[in-house]
Amino acid sequence: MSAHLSEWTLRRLHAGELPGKESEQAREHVSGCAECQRILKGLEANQARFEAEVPFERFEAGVERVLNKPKTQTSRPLRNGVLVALAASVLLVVLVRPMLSNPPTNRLKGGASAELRIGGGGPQRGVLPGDTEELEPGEKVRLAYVSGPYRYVLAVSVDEEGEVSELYAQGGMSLPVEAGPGRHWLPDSVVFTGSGHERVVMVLSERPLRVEAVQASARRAWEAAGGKVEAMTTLDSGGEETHWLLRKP
Amino acid sequence: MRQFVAGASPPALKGLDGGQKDRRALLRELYTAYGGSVYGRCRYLLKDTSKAEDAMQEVFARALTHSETLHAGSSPLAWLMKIATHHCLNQLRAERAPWRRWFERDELARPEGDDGARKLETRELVRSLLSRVDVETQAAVVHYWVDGMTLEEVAAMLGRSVPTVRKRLEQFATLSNEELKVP
Repeated sequence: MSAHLSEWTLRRLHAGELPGKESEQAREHVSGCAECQRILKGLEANQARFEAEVPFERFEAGVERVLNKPKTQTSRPLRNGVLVALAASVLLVVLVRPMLSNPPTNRLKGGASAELRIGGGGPQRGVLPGDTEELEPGEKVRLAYVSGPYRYVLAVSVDEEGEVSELYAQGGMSLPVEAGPGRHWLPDSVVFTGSGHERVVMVLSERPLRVEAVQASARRAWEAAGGKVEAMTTLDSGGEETHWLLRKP
Repeated sequence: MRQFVAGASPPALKGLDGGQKDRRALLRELYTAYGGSVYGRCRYLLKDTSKAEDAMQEVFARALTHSETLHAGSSPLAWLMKIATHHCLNQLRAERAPWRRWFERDELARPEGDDGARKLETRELVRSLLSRVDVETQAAVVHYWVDGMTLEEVAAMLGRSVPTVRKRLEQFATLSNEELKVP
């Protein structure tokens, strides 16, 4: 391991955000280390170049412009009705039949699984839990599950702004799963508007969950991830969760 | 519900009373402490000063509307660089064809090794190979090889374990014929 400070530590020192003692130690090291001094000087020169190239007034005006840009679209998902559902069903039958033998599912306990499939635009495809998939314009999403030992299912989605939308629930609670073994498709398909990432989460559980509580958990998870929907992990919703990350066009 | 339209006394400016004047002060602080780093990241990835400036403005606008999360962690620099990196990588991804051409051209034009400019070349090599991996690996690679973070720092930033980050970096190293081998 090098005796030098990491470049990242020097960057933080330059930005003035190292805590007191750490900052003192770093400065002490730098004062006697030509290599670290060189890197630090480079960072200072970089900032000076930036300030010469982009004066503060221009920077400020640019940031203000972004802040005042009207938001053109909401990002609430829309559940499509019969027409879309039929279209998706047709796609399922016509286009994906060969893929159904090996769908990308998430195996959960007791043979339960969850599946997300995209169709309606480009080629219909499944998405592996944990993967990020690009949505093409006009594409729709359908969700399916094998219930295994679970009795209830619920689905929500979280957009980049931390807005949590209910996708599948009933009267503010989880839906009872459909009877019978095998895969059950949730009704209709879902269209996500807006742009950026959208995290879809299906929760299978043994008892019904309150949508409000799951939404609050999702919101906390989003906050804990630094407001990055891509970085969210578990919602701690009280059920078995499957996550997919979509990128809207 | 978060309100992203600024100017209307954003709740994000908690800790800074008042309106425009304090926002200006905060923005100036961010500009002085982090402007060069963020702009450098955007230029490095987008390779276009105009696009880089636009991207940088987006990042700092986001910093203003999310100032609670910006200051929640121990390193606003880490937050800003993460946002900037993701923003630029996503922009490149959205412009998929140009991105490929851009990096392919770079790769063809890559100079021979030069010990004096080894670091610069490492960065160029990283950039030339980025388009071949997924977004999370791209972010890990940029933070490790360009920002000079340790494995632990990258892992903490991305919310992944150190072994996971190491694995991703090792996969990336194979693309560079082990030139970018993780020690």
